[in-house]
Amino acid sequence: MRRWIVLAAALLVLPAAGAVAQKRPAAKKPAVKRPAATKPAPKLPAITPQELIDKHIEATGGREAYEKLTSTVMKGTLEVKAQGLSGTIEIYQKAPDKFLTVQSIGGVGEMRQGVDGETAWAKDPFTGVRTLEGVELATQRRAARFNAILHASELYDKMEITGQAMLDGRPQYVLKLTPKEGKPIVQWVDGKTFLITKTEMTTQGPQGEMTVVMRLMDYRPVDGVKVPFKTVGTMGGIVELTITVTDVKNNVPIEDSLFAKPAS
Amino acid sequence: MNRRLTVLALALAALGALLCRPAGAAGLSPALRRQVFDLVWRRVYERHYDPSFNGVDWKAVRAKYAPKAAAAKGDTAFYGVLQAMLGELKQSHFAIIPPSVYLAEDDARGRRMDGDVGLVVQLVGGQCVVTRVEPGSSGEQAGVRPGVVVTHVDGKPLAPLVERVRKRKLRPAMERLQVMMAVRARLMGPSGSKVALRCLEDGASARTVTLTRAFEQGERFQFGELPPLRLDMETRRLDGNIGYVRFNLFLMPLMDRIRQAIREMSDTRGFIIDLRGNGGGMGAMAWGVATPFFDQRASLGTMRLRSGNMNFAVFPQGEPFRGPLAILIDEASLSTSEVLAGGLQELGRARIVGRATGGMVLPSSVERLPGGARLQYAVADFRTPKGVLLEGRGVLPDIPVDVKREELLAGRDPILEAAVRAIAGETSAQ
Repeated sequence: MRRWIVLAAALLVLPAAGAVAQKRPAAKKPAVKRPAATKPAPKLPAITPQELIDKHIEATGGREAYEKLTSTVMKGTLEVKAQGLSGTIEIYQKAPDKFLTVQSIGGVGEMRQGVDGETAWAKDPFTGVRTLEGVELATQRRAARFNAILHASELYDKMEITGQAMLDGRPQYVLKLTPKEGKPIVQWVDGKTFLITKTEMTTQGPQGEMTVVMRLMDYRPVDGVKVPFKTVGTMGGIVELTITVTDVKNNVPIEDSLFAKPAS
Repeated sequence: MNRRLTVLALALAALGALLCRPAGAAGLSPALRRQVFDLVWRRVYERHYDPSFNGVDWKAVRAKYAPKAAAAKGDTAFYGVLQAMLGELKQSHFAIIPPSVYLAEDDARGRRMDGDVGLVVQLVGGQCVVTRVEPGSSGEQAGVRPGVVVTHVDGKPLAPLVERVRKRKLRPAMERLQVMMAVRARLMGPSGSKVALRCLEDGASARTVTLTRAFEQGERFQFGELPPLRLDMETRRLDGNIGYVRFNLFLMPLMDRIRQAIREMSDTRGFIIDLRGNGGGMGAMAWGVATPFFDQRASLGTMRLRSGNMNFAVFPQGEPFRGPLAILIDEASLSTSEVLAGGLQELGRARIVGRATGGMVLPSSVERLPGGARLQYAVADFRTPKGVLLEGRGVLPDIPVDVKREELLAGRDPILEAAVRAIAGETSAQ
């Protein structure tokens, strides 16, 4: 998810506007206290993490439907409405472990990120091309695992249900997935539909650390597997972007060269 | 329009253009006003990088300004109240940009502050002195040249303005910047209108020149909710085989051009990036411009958000330019300019030449408000690799240059000359 950090950085502007810095006050007052959120405790049946994942797989089409897929090409639009920016997004995935995202935003340019099975890389108009290492590499390789949900127990060292919560008036299981490298991913899974409704993760790497929260909605079946057609993400609590999927094609031939790290 | 645009493009939005309103535009209803006020207040409350709001009791600010906003007579006054509320934070990058700035250019011609005379006027030796004249501008056509002192604009003396700014007891760079912006606001006006300048040439001779403000043609670029901004870039090979690039904004159409210029002049003995008057732009472009000068990974600094942080990381790409690098700055080098200059300075990759920068370095978002105005609000601070906060401090030059009026009258550019000497000294020492 490192691409979000570059995108967030790209969307932040630093032209000085009319307000001019003046002398700062000598002392700072304490932070404004915020009221603690009070949520009614939902009552969902107890369940193990793997049982919850299995229910999610079943709810989104079933293991058999997933296993029929060998590649996916997803295309859509991307909008940062408040800031008047929009663009396109394309996601290419090929079994067992190849992955490419291409985001193009007006006024920013094209940002690519890929995994060719071994190497993870990123390219954007500011940084150029670079090879991802360490936690970034591990994170991207997990993301590149085709039908990753079927392999959760391999991809994460620890899976736990940390509690239950309400989201939009509906009870949710809160599933925490801790990988060997990197920070945990927390997912909210609807207690009735067993669809993932929200994901929270922290990107890490040489370009910084940022919390990305995504709300997943508008699930629709494609070739027997349900896909969220709308995602609303918030990066660092500051940039809110909406991804709307416009087209999903499965089992289309994709050349391996598409996933290769560009020379420049 | 190079260096002046930087300060003005958005300063204009917040200052001068507040005075303009499109003819016939309907005012905001009381309900819409409440909505806008609430949104502005809440954005700061929820997204300011510092949960203590720079020491300001933001809830008390709301209580203070809500009645003023409700009572404001007209939209201009309403937006003025919002700007005053944001001003309580005493930080850069909090501004209201009124709807008039976003009028379609054809519709707005002559009805907003889009006319310019092509002069950059800065404090030099305590006087308001022309430091740059744009080629083809009405200022140039009237024979105004660098080094000329401007004493009056439309009959109003500038000395009291300078004195008012002095009484604010600001940092010298901020004092110079405020004078520059205030004079700028007086020079600009509706295109086609006229402005009279009382000028002192060599010695004590004075004359009045009447200039016609003109809408400057040229490439414009609109990024997101920022107003359309004019792009200006200059590249050349200086005497002594030194590469030179100057650009007025950090916006994407210039990214490839800047890198191409650096590539094409990779055989030069040194390189100069002129950021004088560059008011900033996209933060990520700072590391994009720095990249060709590094052979190993580096960081220009870090911005801290309320949740998380971002490094301005540089990843080498191919063969870098290894020669000496100088960055030219002045009080109107702001924001991304300061990130780039401050980072390169601390990393020891560039020598910084000129005058201290303005110290306005808070990454921000610009968002459309109901009714058409835009809110710019800071969402992060920025610290150099050694942790120096640049907001309110600015970048201090390694080689400070005290520009003298006589040098300008002689057609010289003392800051550029100092950079050339520094590069020559470095290369001869090698």
